[in-house]
Amino acid sequence: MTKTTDCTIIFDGERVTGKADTPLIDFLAEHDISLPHVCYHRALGPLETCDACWVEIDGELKRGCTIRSAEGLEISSKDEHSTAARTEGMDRLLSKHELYCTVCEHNTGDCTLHNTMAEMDIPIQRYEFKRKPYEKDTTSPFYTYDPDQCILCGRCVEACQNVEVNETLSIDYSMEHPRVLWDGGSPIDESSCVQCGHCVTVCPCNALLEKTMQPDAGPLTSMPDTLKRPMIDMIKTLENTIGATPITGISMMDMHWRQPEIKRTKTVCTYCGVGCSFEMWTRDRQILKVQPVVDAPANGISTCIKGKFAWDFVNSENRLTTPLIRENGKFREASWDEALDLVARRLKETSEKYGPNSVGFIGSSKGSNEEAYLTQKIARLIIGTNSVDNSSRYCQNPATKGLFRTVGHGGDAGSITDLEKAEVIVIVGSNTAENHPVIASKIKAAHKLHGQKLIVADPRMHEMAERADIFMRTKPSTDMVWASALARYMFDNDLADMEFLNSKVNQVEEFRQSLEPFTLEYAEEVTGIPKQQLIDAAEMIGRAESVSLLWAMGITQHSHGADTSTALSNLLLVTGNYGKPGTGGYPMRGHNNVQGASDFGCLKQFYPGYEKVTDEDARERWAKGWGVDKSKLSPEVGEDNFSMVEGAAQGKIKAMMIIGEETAVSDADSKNVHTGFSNLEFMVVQDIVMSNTAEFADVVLPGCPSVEKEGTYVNTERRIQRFYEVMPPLGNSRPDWQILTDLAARMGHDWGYTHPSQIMDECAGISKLFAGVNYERLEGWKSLQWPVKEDGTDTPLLYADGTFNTDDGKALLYPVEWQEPTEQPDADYDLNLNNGRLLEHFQSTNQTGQGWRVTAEESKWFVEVSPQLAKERGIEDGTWVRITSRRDSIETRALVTDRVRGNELFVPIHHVKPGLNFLTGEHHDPIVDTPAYKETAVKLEVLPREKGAPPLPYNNFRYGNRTPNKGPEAPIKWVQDDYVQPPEHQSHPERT
Amino acid sequence: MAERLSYKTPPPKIGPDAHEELERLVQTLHEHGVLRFANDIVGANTKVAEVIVSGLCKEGSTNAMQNLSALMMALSTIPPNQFYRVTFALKDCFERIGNYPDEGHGDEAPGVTGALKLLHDEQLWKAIIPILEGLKVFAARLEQPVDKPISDFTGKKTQD
Repeated sequence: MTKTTDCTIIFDGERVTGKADTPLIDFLAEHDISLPHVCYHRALGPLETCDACWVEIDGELKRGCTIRSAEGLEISSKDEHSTAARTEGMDRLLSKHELYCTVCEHNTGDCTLHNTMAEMDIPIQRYEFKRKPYEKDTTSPFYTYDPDQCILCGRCVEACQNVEVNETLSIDYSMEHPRVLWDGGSPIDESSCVQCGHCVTVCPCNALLEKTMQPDAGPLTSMPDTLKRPMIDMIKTLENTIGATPITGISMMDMHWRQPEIKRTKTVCTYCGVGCSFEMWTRDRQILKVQPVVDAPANGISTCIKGKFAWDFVNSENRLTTPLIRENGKFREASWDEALDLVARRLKETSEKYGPNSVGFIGSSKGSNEEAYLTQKIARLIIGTNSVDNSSRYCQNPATKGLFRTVGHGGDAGSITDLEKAEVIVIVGSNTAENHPVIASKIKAAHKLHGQKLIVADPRMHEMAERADIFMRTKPSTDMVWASALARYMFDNDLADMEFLNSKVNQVEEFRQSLEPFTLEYAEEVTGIPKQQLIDAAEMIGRAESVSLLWAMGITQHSHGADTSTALSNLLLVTGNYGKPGTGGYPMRGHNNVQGASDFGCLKQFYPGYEKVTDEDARERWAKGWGVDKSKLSPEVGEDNFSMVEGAAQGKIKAMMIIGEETAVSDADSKNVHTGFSNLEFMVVQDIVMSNTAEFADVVLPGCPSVEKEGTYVNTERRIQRFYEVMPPLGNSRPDWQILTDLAARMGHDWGYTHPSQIMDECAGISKLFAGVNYERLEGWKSLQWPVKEDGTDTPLLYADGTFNTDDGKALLYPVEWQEPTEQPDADYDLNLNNGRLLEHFQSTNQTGQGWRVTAEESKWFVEVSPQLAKERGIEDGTWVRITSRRDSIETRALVTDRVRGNELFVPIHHVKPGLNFLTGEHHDPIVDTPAYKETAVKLEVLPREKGAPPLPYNNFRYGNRTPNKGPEAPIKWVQDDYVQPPEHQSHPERT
Repeated sequence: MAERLSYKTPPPKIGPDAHEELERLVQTLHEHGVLRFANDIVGANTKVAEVIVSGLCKEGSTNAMQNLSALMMALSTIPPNQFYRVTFALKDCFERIGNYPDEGHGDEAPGVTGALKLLHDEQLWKAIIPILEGLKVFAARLEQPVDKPISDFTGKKTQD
């Protein structure tokens, strides 16, 4: 043995050495030894349903998937007994699955059933395939389920119940003809299925299959049924004479000849900040499927509807494919030379005429780190302004501020694995299940399977609230009060971690005194949370070994979001919940690279790596790194998104460059934003589609989505991941980093980048935070979590060495005072309008709205109205209402639901013309300039208009009825009358 | 003052069209030597055809083609199960014959009394009778003259 954790087993007479306590199948695979198996999956563990992996240990048959490596273990797989058992197991599977592999879409190399059957060299199946009395379910826009191909292995059920934890799928082995059931027997698209794709990803055959694979994934698969069926029947007849071997040979050849035309490329999702990575399978520009892998560091096999299926935008007919120039009241197509020359000239002219601060840049929170870096480099080095920002201004800056104040780093304290480890999770103002679904899945699984406790604070009852052990239903904008009251409770009840506070935290006493007003009674009065519930939550948090706290827009998009974020981080410090596994503060980043856009310098006050523009040393280092004199870089903090748009309306900002951001929709008080844009003397927009923002532009530059370029993103856990080019740019569009490099050259700065890795190298050479980051260290599924030392050591858990990112290395308890929300309901505007994302869509739907498939799941705009308010105003599902704020009005239909309470309304943010932000106002958090989107007082009128259909389609997953269970539960299968243990033969193998 | 302008993007071209697919096919065929081989064959088509025809016109070739045809015709009339039984019975028979000398026992002469005992061995007669019956049918079929196999196969006569 080379290491204490190694062991040697004897497998079929051979000594095999490897890591101890490893699942046997994986242990053997490490040595290129294959033990046939079908239901076992690395991400799911042993399900024990397929009976295809039997081995013999001490003369006794055991399922190989249940064995873990241990010193001295002797295993036989080639003996007659276990071979017969495995063959019987496979024969039973084949009685449930019709083999037609050469004309099956799934025979692309990862069909577990085909490959195992071929490996076992089954000469002929013992049991005839028997058709089940069910039709193929094609109701989902994204995938199909074919009961006749289903082997009832239960992988899909395990994934749905215990990985995704949406709890939709089940198998009832006691049925006359068992099959996988959605909500106990509904069509897929009328069930609680959230179309996350877990089940499809893990299906070992073609029972569950992406529609994008059908029908032409293979060269022989797209023939019509009228041809395919007779061919299958003919081969089946021949098989009775010639056996399966030659036919399997043909299907093996088919599998091989498909390989040259299928390209598998690692990419990173471009929706939320979880940072899911996966393989994208393509044939030319056709996206065959998204295939998650176990090795993906953030998500493993998990995805949501968007990551798995919402890629139709890549080949959308609405893609911009050539530069456009505004001329004579319309857009005309232009060459790159003409467009970029014009942009270069106008930006320089504006800067020279009105000064550098008359030009503003909004970098993309969807573009790469390298593109964010170039954006700020152009702004700072070429134009000479620090007026560069990204959409974190609209969402996460308050959270970052709270972390800066207390612990020092503006990023999540740990990793997603820490969230899984935590004894208690507190979710505040985050609809995690819809906005960060994969992280929600990890929490739901820890809660369901490992006894993790869950506390949710939110005015709205979303899925995580329904699942919570304690749901504190708050009055809007009051979270700062309960967080501070809980902090005080900890001190008052000996639950504060004094050892931690005394050794690692400054300003403890001053902070403690600042908590004086925050009694439980006061908190109950302000927040509406019953006192006893506050005590229960405090006890749960205070007595736990590890607590992680998540928050999102429900905290930050308020007039005092930075203070509330500070209060939440204070609570974690008081209880000693930083620096240990399973602890820390986790602001959930909303866009795929909103963290990276900030990390790489698209912020008005920071160079990349959060080095202050006002810091002389930092300025000198960046000037040196860029090969210019320090005087070329402005020492003044620039304008941010919010103030740039305001400045444009006031005539202070004359030109703007906006990259991949839908500011015309996403900034608050849309009318004012549109006025600002119209006032600009010059505006250039870089995007992949003709966005609402681009409609105001003088020049529109067609950029590329992530799948058409290379680069890196940073996810919510500070994880830097590489993505690769899946397919070439569409038409005449260009990768954004190339556009920016070319633009800089036309402005006299020829940086000569030919690959994004050179940009990263440059940044890592200057920024301390990314010192050890390079593309080689990020190759494939490798990733790095910043800070990254020069030797490549990264930091999955911040502050683990007890040192915080402050001047003296100690954290700081930062006193904050309770302040009322800036805008509140009054007699005229008597309701509070909340807003947020829905699971199915993303932001202004520039991506999810392309094609029909996502929109089919959720297409209509609506306002959620509480049952109480509905009763009071005579509102039903589909009733047309007008919602009026102090700025404007919108008309939409009502959806009556108890997700909202009392005088609370909720509107999804995805509708664009008109958009929600016609109602929101200029009031904002003065510390970080983040608009208080969630604080919008409105009034509601019922319109005398014929009631429409319910705005949420009847088949939407929110109307489904989940069927929670423990998973496929093989023991239930084994006690069925029909079941006998292999190698005995079975009378009705098709049933189990 | 830049007024807001709407703009409808012209649909981009997605994926290769038929011409591009054809170009790719040609390139692939070239890279794998298929085109070279095809060119060689087509360029030498007359000569190649002459060689093929001369080869096919030999008595042995025509015999082989006709015999293969006859075999296929016969095979098409035999139910697979029956054919499988006969084929594998023959295989067993050949195996038995092939292994017989190696077994080293039971090959002594039975003698007169032994031969008489054999005549009363019911198992032996059950084994022999099907072979004799088969031989009789085989001999009878051999007696029938066949002009054109297709006529015999379909029963449809042709004019001389």
